[in-house]
Amino acid sequence: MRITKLVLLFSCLLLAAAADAEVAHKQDKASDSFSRHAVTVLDEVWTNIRKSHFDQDFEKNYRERIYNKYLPEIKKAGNDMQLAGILNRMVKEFGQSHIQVLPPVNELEIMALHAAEKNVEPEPLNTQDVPADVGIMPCIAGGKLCVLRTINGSPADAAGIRAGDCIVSINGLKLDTSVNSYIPWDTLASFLLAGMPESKVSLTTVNSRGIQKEYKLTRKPNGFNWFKFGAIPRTYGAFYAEVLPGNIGYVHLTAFFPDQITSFVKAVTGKLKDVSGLIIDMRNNVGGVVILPQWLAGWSCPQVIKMGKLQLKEATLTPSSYPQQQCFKGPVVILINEGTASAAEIFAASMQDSKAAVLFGATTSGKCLPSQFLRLPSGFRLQTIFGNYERENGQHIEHLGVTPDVPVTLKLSDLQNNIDSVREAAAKYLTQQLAAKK
Amino acid sequence: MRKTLFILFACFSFMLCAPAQDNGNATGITLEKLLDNIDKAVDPDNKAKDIKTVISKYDGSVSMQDIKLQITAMFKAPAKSKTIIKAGENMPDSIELFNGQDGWTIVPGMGVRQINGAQLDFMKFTAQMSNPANRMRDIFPKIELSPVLEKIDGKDCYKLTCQADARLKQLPLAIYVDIKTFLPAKMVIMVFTDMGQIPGTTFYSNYQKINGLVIPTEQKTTTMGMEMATKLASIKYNEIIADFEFDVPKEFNAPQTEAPVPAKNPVLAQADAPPKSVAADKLSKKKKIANKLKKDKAKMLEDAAKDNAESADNDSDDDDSKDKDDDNKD
Repeated sequence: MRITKLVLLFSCLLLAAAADAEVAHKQDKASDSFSRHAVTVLDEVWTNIRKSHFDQDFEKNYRERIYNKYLPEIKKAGNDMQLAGILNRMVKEFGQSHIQVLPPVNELEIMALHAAEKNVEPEPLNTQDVPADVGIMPCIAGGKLCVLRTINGSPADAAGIRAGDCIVSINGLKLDTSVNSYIPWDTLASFLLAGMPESKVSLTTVNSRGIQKEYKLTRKPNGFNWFKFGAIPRTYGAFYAEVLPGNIGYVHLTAFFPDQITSFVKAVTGKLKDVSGLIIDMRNNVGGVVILPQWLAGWSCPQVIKMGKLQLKEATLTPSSYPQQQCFKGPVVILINEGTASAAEIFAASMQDSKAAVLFGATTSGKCLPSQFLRLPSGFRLQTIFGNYERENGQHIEHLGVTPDVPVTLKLSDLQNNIDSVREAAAKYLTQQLAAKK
Repeated sequence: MRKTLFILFACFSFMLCAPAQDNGNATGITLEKLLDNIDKAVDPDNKAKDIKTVISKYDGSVSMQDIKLQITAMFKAPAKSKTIIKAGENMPDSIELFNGQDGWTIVPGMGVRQINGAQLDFMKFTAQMSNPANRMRDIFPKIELSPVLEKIDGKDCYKLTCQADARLKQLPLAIYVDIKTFLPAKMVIMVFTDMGQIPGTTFYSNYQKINGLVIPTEQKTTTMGMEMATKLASIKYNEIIADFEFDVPKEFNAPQTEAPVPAKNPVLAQADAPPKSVAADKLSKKKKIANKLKKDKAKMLEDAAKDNAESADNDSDDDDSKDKDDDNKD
């Protein structure tokens, strides 16, 4: 009996051990399987970056330092989001902008996760054909995320949100700019404020008197279209135009997509046809399609603007503008800031180098390399660079940015008094120059 | 730059060969014989000479970028061409026109750009290549056969190095021809764009006989690490195409053709003279004369209008004085 009990106990222990071993074996199997998947994704990412990267000694310069360093960690990733996180840390080590890895989930989620570096519950991707938002153009002033402008007649305008109001949170996600200065908070805010037409967004602001207000706003179509092109995450850009006192034209483009260029053409040949000077606001312009600065420059001034060099693996390209007969022919000021990136930096730098415009504001982001989005066989998407960019004056923009001719800081106190100090300075400059000319 | 490569799809489907330079080689065939064989392979019924217009449509995609392409290429003998490229839903069409002499790129909503310099030469060259009636000798005064065979997709191929007319300033291109079928399998070419030169390689496959001509219905082009694949959707020969199809439509404003207006920025005034306009550079002598005549005519009309106005004023003064006289009489 005792022996039977002992055998039984032994059997039970053996069974338990076997069960544990089975679970462990299953986990190992799953983990092995994901580990293999992770290495496959890593290799897809690595191969495609190498394929188009301008560095001829890519393997020699980066394999040991980056690939081998991250391989053990990548093998231990538990899911696609974790894997994307590690891969993005890895590609950051190239020290170049425009290289990122997107897991096979929606882009809003990725943007929020990347930027906020914490988990959020993002809205599902807009399935409508048109984007919608609440009519706020966010900016950073005095180190705080705030409202640069509300569009007339927009939900934000109707709710009484004004320039200079600080944005505290959107949909419960606290947007604290002091946490991480690297995050493009204003771009993130634009993304979070956008969504499906008629959907709701909650917004908390603090006004100049320190009063906190909460709003529940309904997003309305903003008159723009989604920019959907290939594997590029779906996005849109805004355009705004008005005539300022002194017959100064003002346009604000937040991206370099076809919609913004055609809107600019319509403005220059219509509403702003007779203005004497022009302010082109490129603040927080995230860039876009690399050939579009050539068209914008062609409508911004009558001279041919040489737009630097794109150094690719197989060729060096030298883009220039396409002057149009009905282009704007007066003096131009371009506004730039830390959020001005990529194609917008190429445009501003080229206009500056050709002495076709004077730049006001702050040094740009210095994220300026030509890139493409690829859909990898694993479902991950990779944004990778395919060349280096050198501006017409021989300098690079990557890491350095474009320096304004006239540095002007956007002050929160001014904004709260409805004064956009950078735009005001530009308008004043143009008015003086035009008066002196007379 | 992509668009220029797309155009190649449309152009090089019609490459026909004729006898050219024979260097002697170890491939077991003379250049003369090879070119004859290619000629027969692509135009077995000798129909190419009767083709005056071609309208071809292609569907394509850019590998790994989820970009769908639709390309429509029109050709009218001897050398007019038009290519419309639609890339994705949100990018405007790109229309490239060549009327036999001048070329333009039109992007609706964005503007018109006149093509000049090396890119215009390249356009002339591709227009020649697009003409099914043109033999290789018409296009390439110099053709060399490589003494060794090369493998393309596992097939042995002859390599021909072809040099276009020196006036067109093109770099030599290489054409690889299947030794069994005598059909082109690959081409390596330097493409001239408005931004500079880009090397491109195209692979041809799935040849089919359509209306007497044997043409590749599938092509893959690689350039700058990108791969574009196209399939022929339809092709029509000798449809009527009006000449105006190859000129800038009236609804588009003509590109700037006047000398650049000096920039008005004060900083510019102190700086060096602004760079010369590309548009001004490309202004042909003929156009300058035409512009001058136009200006002279405009001035004459203006002067005539002034004269009319002055005489009208005089008439009116006379009338006034007459009225006054009449008043005095009253």
